[in-house]
Formats: sequence, structure tokens, C-alpha cells
Amino acid sequence: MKVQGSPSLRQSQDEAELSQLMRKAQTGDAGAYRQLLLRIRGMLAKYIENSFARFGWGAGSGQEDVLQEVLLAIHVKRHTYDPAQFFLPWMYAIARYKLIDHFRKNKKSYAALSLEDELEHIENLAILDSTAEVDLEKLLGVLSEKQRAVLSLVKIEGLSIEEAAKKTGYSESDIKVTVHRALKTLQEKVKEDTRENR
Amino acid sequence: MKTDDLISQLTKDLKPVKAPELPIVFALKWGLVSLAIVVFIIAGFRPRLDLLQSLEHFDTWIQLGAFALLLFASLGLVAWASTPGREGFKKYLKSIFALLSLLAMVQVVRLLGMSRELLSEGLAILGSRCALVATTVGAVTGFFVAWKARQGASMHPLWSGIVLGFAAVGAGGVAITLHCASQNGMHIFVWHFLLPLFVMGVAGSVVGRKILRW
Repeated sequence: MKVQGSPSLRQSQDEAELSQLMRKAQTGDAGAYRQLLLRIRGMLAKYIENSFARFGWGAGSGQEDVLQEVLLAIHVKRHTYDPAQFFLPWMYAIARYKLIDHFRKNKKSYAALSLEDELEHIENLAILDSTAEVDLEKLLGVLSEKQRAVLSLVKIEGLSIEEAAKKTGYSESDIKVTVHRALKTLQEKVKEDTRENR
Repeated sequence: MKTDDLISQLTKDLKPVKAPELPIVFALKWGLVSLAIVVFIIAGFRPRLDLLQSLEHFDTWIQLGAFALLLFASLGLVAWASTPGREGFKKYLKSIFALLSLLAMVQVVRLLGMSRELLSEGLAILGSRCALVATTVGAVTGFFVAWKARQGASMHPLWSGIVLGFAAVGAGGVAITLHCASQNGMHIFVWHFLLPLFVMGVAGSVVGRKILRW
């Protein structure tokens, strides 16, 4: 089984092109900046949409506003991008910060798991999604059988937490914790591979 | 406003920007400026009468070095947290707390050999004045560094605020070592270190959450 994803951002074409556009934008190149904003717009919209869905908010509940806030924050804080660092983690970190702000302002409850951790996982999936191919089976091999089964239901088959709980017989909080731990393990594995590949 | 219009507005009249300073450069640059402010304030007002003699003692240099290390390390963390996407914040934060624990342990070891009379004397002698000088001087440098940190994009305003408070304690600690002549270990531990650390940590957490948000 193959999915879009990569153990190394360094090999990602998106990462290379976007960071180059950002470097040019920092020197005042408006054309490169426009190109950058147009390209990241779609990536951010998808990230925001996934985050809204994860927290039970439907489309049209302010996603466009959040997208514009994130683009504005990227513009205002563009001097904080260090060209020696990766661009995508910088961009998603800003998006996460603004999403947390938005959820808190709108008093969205997010019991059981930390909002920041959850968004970080969605962000890592988004980064994986924007990079080259990786063998999913090999990646999932680091997980326990239970983690693999639950993660497949929630993240690949797209079941809700409630549906996954009914299907497996585990409690909803058990499903949440299992997904959280599985994603954390994957995140560490990806980081480890990234360090090895540098 | 539509997102397309926003993008057009943002790209219009785009100005070049300077890339951020490395955390180590930020810490060294603004740490040295903070120390210069501290020395200027203390020299302008009231350095301890035995300052020159005290600088001949290794113990004074240990205290100055420890507080300066706290200042530089804390500023480095504040700069680290101000760059979105930079990894390792939690590890760095843990190392700051490890440093604080080490400084506290060194102070506690000094207390072990002291008599009960000296311990109670240390708690009594002009302590509130020392704590006041340390926190006031710390606050001046703390606000100055907070202003610099505000130009970044802190991903952890609460923790950045607390650590800014620790940086202020570092600067205040240097100030009080140059100002207060007492060598009593208990006095130094409580009035130069513990109380300012608590006050500035709490103040930093309150102020940081407000001024470092963006």
C-alpha cells in the first residue's frame, strides 16, 4: 500500500519550492510572494478544513475567516521565518496558533486530548501529505496491532470516533487516546527517519 | 473581503524584511545590553561599598556568573520560542528548570554548614530592600527584553512570559550582587534568589500572556 508522504522534508519538492519563494519574498520580491500565497492557500484551506472536521465544526462556520487570519499572520510575521529552517513546519505552526486562538475565542470544548497536540498531529499528516511517496505498511509497522486497527478506521476509512468505538467495542476515550498515541509514535518515527536522512 | 483580494493587498508594496536572529545571537546581544543597563543603574545609584574587595572573592564571581547564565539561557529560550516551527522547545524549557534546580542546590549546600543564628539573621537583614532592588532592576530589563521578544512570534506566550521573568531574575541577581554587601547564604538564597524568582515568574506569566500574544 502506498500513500503520499515522506520521511524527509528535505526531499520534498513542495518544501524546496515554497522555502525558495519565501526567501525571495523576504527580499521584497512581490511576484514570488504572490505565487507563494496562492500555493499555500490550498494547503492551509485543507488543514483548516480537517481541523474543523476533527473538532466537529462543519463547513461555513468561519473557515474562510480563519484562512484569511492565517494568511495575514504569515504576512505580518514573515520576518520570523528562518531560511535555514524548513518552511512547511513554520507555516503550519502559525496556522495552528491561529486555529487555537479561533477555537478558544469561540469557546469550543476539546476534552480528553490537548487541542495543541491534536492540531499538531493534523499538521504532521498535512506535511506528510505534501511530500513524496512512502511505504505506509512499513511506517505502520512500528504500531501495535490495536493502534494499527484503530488508526486505519479513523484516519484511513474516515470513521468518526463514535463509529470506531461502536465497531471495535472500545470506549470513545480509549479510541481517542489510541489514535493520539499512534500518531505520536508515527510522528517520532518520521522525525527519526528525517534525522537519519539528513 | 475575499481571500483573492486579501492576497492582492498583501503582495502590493511588499517590503523586504530581515530574517530572524539565531537564538544564541539574540541571547548574547540583548543579554549584554541588559547587563549594561544593570551595571549603569547600579553604578549610577548605589553599588556596595566593598565592591572592589568583593570582586577579589571567587564566591562573588560564582554568583555573578550564575545569574548571568540564567539571564542568557532564558533569553535564548525566549528567542527559540519566537520562531514558529522550531523544534526542541520542551527540551530547552526542561534544561532551564534543570539550571534553576542546580542554582538552588548550590545555594542550599551553602546553607548546610551554617548555624541556626546565622540562618535566622540572614532572613532578617534588610531582606525586603534587596528583593525590591532585584525585582525593580529585573523589571526594567525584563520590559526592555519583552519589547524585543514581542517583535518575534512567540508560540508559547505563557511559558515565554515565565522565562522572561527568569531572565529578569538573572539581571536582577547581577544587580543585587553588585549592590548588597551581605555574604549570608540564607539572605542570598531567600531575598536574592527565591523570592525574586517567584515574584518575577508570576509577573512574567501574567504580562507575557498579554504582551506576547499576536
